Amino acid sequence: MRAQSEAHAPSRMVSETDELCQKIRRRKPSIYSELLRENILEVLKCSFPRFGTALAPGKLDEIASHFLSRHGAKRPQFHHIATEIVEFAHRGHELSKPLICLLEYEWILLSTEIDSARIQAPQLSGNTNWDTSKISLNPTAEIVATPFDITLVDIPVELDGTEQNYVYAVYRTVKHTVVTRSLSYVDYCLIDLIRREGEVAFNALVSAPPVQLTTDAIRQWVIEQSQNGLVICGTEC
Amino acid sequence: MKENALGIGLRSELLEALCIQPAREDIDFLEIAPENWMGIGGRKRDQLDILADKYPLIAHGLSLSIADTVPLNVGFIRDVCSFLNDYGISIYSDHLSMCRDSSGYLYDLLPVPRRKENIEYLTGRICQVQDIVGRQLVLENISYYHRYEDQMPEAEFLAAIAEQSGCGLLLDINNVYVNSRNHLEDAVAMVRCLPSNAIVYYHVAGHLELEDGSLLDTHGTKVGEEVVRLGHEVWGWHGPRPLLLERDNQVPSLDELIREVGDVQKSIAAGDRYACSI
Repeated sequence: MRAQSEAHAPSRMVSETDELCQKIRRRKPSIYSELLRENILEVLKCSFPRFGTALAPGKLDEIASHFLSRHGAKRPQFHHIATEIVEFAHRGHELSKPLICLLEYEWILLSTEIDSARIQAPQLSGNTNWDTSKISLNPTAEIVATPFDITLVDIPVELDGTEQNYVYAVYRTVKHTVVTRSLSYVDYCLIDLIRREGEVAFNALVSAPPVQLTTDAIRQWVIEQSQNGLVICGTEC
Repeated sequence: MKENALGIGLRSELLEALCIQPAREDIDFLEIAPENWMGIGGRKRDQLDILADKYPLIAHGLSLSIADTVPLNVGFIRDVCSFLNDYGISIYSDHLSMCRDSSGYLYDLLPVPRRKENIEYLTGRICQVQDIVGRQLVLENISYYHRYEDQMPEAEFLAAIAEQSGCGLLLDINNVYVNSRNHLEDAVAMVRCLPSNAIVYYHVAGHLELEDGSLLDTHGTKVGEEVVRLGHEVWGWHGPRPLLLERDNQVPSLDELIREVGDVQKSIAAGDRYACSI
């Protein structure tokens, strides 16, 4: 039997299943309400460990309950429940800016860990021909800017708008370690240029307007960032 | 796959041990939830690639939501199909359940009302999925904690769906037992009503007894002796099939898990008393 175009469900089936789901979402007492809430709570704790400990007692349970009752998750994959939670936090839950930053940062760590991109091993050697070298960014790299030092254990309770920005690159190395690297202004300018262009010739990087560095300094920067795994240096064919 | 094949569910906790060992002779296959592996990279993907070279894989989905009342998520099903093709997976199972309403996904397995008038609708959706994935869809009986009114017997419902859609059945022996205890049903009668020729493989798992005496399908303990006894009935009635042990919580060591599934199969096949210490 081959499928025809999808039929509508019988009306009684629709009303009965809707009623069950609504009861679960509204946390009417049932095993399902508890199981689902526990599932979401578990994802929150595992995926966002620092966020969970930064919240006031009871707040995590509240977020799990509100997620169930208010959020329509569109992604079937279980590793995307964390993504749905971040979307929900943006749209439907009152969280302070530092907490949202922390949630997003932990989501980026997760997302980077399972990013489907393949990462090349560093290819620089003593024989590198810099005239034909092309520099690209690690394909898993994300640039993150936060109004406080995200690497500190404690985050501020609130922000007053006068904070400086901290900029980081989060990426996965060829050995699958997820790294958060603090970026200086020079780092950021060079990485932003590489990111915008996709791939940049070494000579173009040397003549890039945002930063004035000597050729040797840029070369040293490329070597260091290549060893760190943040940029990939290949040779033009 | 041989009819008495043994398998375990692939959990993150087991990855390292499975990857560093040569292919073991005491298990024949691994079962994976495609939703946990599709579209990912990094270490986990590399580990899956290693394991796919060592063991046949069965895909056991969680999010198909075949029995909900909103249009099938065709994009997702196509992604599942690509994943099955990439890993050469021939058996694709999921649950006869729903995990979604018109608002979105709920990430749990909810029961469908078992009525004659729902069979044609469900059959059409199953056929649509089978067309997209290019394989038979195998559906598992779930443990359920909600009863709709005026339902037909579960086995009759499953048999009608299997017959009309051509889908296979994944008989979860623990779920049959849990439902029989929670809803005062006859477990042996239920399994005997199922069509043998539709049953593709068996699941066994552990459950938890709550204070009120009801059972919860937790996959967090060893397989109970009553489930093994029911498994013996199933084995005797429907014959041997590949047997998979599910363990999702408090996962023991790989050696312990493999020993358990081997012991369970021996007891199910022979009808021996199964020594279960939780």
